[in-house]
Amino acid sequence: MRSVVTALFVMFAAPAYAQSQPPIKAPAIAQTCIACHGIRGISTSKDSPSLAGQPDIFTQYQLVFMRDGQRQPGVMAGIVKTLTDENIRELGAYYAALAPPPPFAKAEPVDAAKANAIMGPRRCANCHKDDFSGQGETGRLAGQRPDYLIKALKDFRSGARRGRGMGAMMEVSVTLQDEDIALIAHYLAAKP
Amino acid sequence: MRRQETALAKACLAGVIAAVFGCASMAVQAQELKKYDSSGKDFWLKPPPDWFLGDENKEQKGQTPNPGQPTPTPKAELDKILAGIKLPPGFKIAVWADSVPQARQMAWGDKGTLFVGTFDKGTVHSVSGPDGQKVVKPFITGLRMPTGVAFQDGALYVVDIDKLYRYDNPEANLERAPEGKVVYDDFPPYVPHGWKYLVPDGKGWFYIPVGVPCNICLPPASTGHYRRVDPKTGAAEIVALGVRNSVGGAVDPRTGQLWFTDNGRDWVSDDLPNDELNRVSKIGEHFGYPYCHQGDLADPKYGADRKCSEFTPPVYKQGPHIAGLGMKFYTGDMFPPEYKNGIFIAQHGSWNRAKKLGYRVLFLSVDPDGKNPKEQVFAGTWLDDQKILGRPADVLQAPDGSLLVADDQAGAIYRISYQK
Repeated sequence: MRSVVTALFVMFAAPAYAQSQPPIKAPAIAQTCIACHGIRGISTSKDSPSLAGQPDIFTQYQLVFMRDGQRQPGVMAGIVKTLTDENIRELGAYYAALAPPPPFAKAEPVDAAKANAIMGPRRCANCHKDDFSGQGETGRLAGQRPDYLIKALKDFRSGARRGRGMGAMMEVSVTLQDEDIALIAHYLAAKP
Repeated sequence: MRRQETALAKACLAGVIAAVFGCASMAVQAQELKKYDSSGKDFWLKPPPDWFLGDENKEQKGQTPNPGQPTPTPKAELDKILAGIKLPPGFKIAVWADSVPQARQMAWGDKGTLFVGTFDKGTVHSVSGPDGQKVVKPFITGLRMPTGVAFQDGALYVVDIDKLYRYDNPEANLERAPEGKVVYDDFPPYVPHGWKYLVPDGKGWFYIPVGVPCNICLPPASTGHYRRVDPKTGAAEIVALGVRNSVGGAVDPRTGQLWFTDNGRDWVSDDLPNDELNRVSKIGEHFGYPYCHQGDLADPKYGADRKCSEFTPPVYKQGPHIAGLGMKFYTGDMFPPEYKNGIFIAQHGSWNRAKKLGYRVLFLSVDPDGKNPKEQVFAGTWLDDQKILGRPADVLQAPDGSLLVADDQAGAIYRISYQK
């Protein structure tokens, strides 16, 4: 299986990836993701998250949950259904290796003290890390699109977001007002 | 009392409480307590500013629940891992089924199918096949956290966060699960610690834990206890209070009493509090949460105006953060006689302490009244130094008297057998 996959890398890897330094080989299946999640995993589509720099295990879990139907990914439903465990491991490794997105250019300026007052007591940094780069099963938040962060937080708050972390995320998000969510989303989006 | 003071002193040394209250004056706590009355809606909408603060010290920063594995460990690697698992003389462990993602509570069907719950994957797997094959299939999908399963009177029961389902005659068609019937839905909606375990009481009812939706809080009234539910009528009653997050229990074959594991609170210190093994000797007994942990440790926030002596202490302290989950009394004939009526506990393993603890199956021989607990590390450990190789989440006796162990990290089920 491994050798077949390697062969696929060689056959389908886009030239742009091949030229990167150090070279990051895109699994063939990653071609499918570009339309919504952007070239090199940096999204330019509203409500569609950037995947570049996301922790390996985080990406794998989300794909597993979408494949199982725990998360309802809309247009992605048909794509994820066909993924093998091997595909999922490849995609996790690939997006983790890509350079994370730069600070989101159109993030609205917010009062950092206000953001910290909301996030500090909820211990966001304990799992997402001080630089919000994420770790393990916990997603990267820094530089993420604010529209997507708002959607994700509201989904956690309402219980619509199922899968990993839903217990901890519901515990911290259930007390958030809409304006709190918008504020921390823009704060995090502007993080390098 | 002496023990309690020592324990408190230790907690203070850990520096957790010192930052918030100062340990010298516990009287101050009594006045502060009002602020943390989390029983009303206002508290949750506008929590006091230090509600979550003080819950970690420098050493504990960055500790998070183990991420686990999104996909199961391949069979060849499982074999290698099991070669390193230590057992008492005469016992053997082998892979019974691989590729059972997130394997949690297990239950035998009448016709030999093994049903296996999962954590947040939302699936109940079936494991069966002709001539002892272990074909793993997602039998029920699309639930939220169906951790608890049981088989009773020809039906599979599955408990999700807020509902108990019945699937009639499931082994007649393992290709497609029958429509689940909701037989009980009077559970709170909270996801945190909302995952459950099913303990048949032997009379047709189930003991079911209802966890608290927090690490430490005054629990909302509908949480923090064990209840007994009749799946035929939907009737229910509270049997034990002061329970934080139990995901394992069993009825003692000697007495018919409920015993259960309970995971203690986080962020006190590496070594406190111990997770509990409890025995319910009378209906409505209170096991201490959130006021008192491990029978002798007053909670830094809630312990001030209550005494540990008001509550039932655990039969056995399992170890701090060790996360004993699924448990069963052993009633088989395969193992040596000293194992009869003893308890096997799947100790899932710690996250809220610097050095990992658990990741093993514990055996405990103990008198029916809870006296004379004697522990034995039975199978373990699923650790390579600090690297996690697997996490036992449940144990189940097989019809031949061997013991199955569900591992929800490696996504596998092991079989432990004995031969003289």
